[in-house]
Amino acid sequence: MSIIVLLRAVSERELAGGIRGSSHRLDAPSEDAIALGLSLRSCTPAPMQGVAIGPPEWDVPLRDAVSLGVDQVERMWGPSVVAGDIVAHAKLLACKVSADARAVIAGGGATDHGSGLIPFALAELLGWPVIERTIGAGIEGEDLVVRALAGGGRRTTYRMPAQAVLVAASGRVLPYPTVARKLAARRAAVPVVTPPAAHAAEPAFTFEGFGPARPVTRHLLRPSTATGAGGRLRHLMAGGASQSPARGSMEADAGVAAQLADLLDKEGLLD
Amino acid sequence: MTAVLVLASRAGSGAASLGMDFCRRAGAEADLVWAGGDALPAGAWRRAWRTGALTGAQAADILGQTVSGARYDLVLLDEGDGGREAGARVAVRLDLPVIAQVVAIRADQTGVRITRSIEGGARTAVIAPGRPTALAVVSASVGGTDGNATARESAVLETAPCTTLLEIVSEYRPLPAELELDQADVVVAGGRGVGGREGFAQLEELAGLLGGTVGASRVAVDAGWIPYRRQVGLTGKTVAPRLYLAFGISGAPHHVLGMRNSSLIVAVNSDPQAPIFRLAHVSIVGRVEEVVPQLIGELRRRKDARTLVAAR
Repeated sequence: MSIIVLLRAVSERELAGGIRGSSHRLDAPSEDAIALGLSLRSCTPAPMQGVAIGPPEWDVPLRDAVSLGVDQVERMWGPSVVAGDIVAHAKLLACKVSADARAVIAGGGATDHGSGLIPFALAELLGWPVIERTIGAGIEGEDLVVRALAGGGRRTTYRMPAQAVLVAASGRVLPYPTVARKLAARRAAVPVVTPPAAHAAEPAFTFEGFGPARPVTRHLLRPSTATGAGGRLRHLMAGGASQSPARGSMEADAGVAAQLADLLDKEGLLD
Repeated sequence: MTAVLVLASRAGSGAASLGMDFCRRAGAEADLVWAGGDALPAGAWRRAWRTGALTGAQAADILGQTVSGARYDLVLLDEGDGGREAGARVAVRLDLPVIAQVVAIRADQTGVRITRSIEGGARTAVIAPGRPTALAVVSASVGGTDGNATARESAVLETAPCTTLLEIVSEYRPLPAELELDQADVVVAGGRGVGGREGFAQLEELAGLLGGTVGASRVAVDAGWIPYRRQVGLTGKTVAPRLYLAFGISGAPHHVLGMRNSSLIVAVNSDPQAPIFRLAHVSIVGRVEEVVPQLIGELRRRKDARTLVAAR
């Protein structure tokens, strides 16, 4: 019996040139997954195995995962690995899930530029159920019992006789590793598995170029009727913020509340 | 001609707006699978299939059947509402490329180009799908559009009952006051601009109407207006709810670090230069003590109207 944890590292510019020897660190969803894995492992003696698909720079953060409690880690990398190909990544990961695995645990984003699709693709390949926003997992008798968040802060408890893919809820806090664990983890081996040619599928897509981030604004409230042309332009350029508070009848305008309520309704945030 | 299939379930669907926008510019036609009630999302749809509320697995079944029965160049889904699950499952079943966190789509002479967000939104990448059909899961940061909706053909799709290996043992719905900050879908947070304990009582009322909980900046906690366990930020809790309403919060870096990953940030502040407006998706320059009662009134009115309709 084992617990598989999907891990991912991200680049952190501030870490470059530090004593760790790597500018990469584990991302927050991976830490969430490790925390959930630790809570499951406290109920069963199963070892926790970390799996990642990533470049050699990820070795240092994977050792960090060992210091946090993962028993062993493995990294998959090779010329046949296509960055961002979710289906190909899920197929690679499915090969690493042994028949005796009790659960595969992932964070909100897993190994694929953080899109969060891998757990579902993996569940489809394995024929396992998937539970999102998991906050706790344990074993009762032979069954896996999982607590998960539902909408509006509701908590649902599931019981299942077989295995499952669990997506950890964000915001879990990991205990800080002891110095002894950190020192031991520095010497931990990170075996690298090169995917066999059989998995080297034709790329499903190609990256053609990269660009700057998109602006975050996605809703523009109508500017106040008292605002002039210049104010309206500033309102648009500021992403909906009125820049003329002195005559901003927007703040006193009951229409703002109606617009905001419409927007929340559109976003599916009103029951 | 390019054909597009959109699966959407809410009026503000980014997939529907991106799909319709793409069709307008590329001269393409779009079909819609709609699981969102009476009014269709804005656009001139070729066909519209209506369904009841769908789980991710049910949406995957419907999409799988629809996509394998006709030729679509592009299939668009929203990131939330089970879209991620449906997209991933269909991609595996039909061996299609699936691209997540999509923020834009365009077509040129050589085919469809999809722009996705990468590195946590710090950059974008332009992707050319390598197969005739591609699945695109549209980022939650893409908003919907308003407008008229028409469909040349319309039909109702029967959905198979959801089969699952999971047994629900229990379900617990905490009261707003019991709801922990990091577990809430909606956080209504207040800062110095809230003015005092009375202001936070109003925020609690608002949070109750939205099914959320109340958070606060360090200034409000230091002033003793609200307990420390409600503090959001570097020295408090880190949250990433679906909706973060920031009332009277300036947006100091130590607060922003605790809430910047929220899906939708609405900021209300009387200072138009407040740094929080650089982060917010919706910015309102206004006085908290005026906007909050208006919003409470509006939400209460809508809730009463819905209750009345449901009673009928």
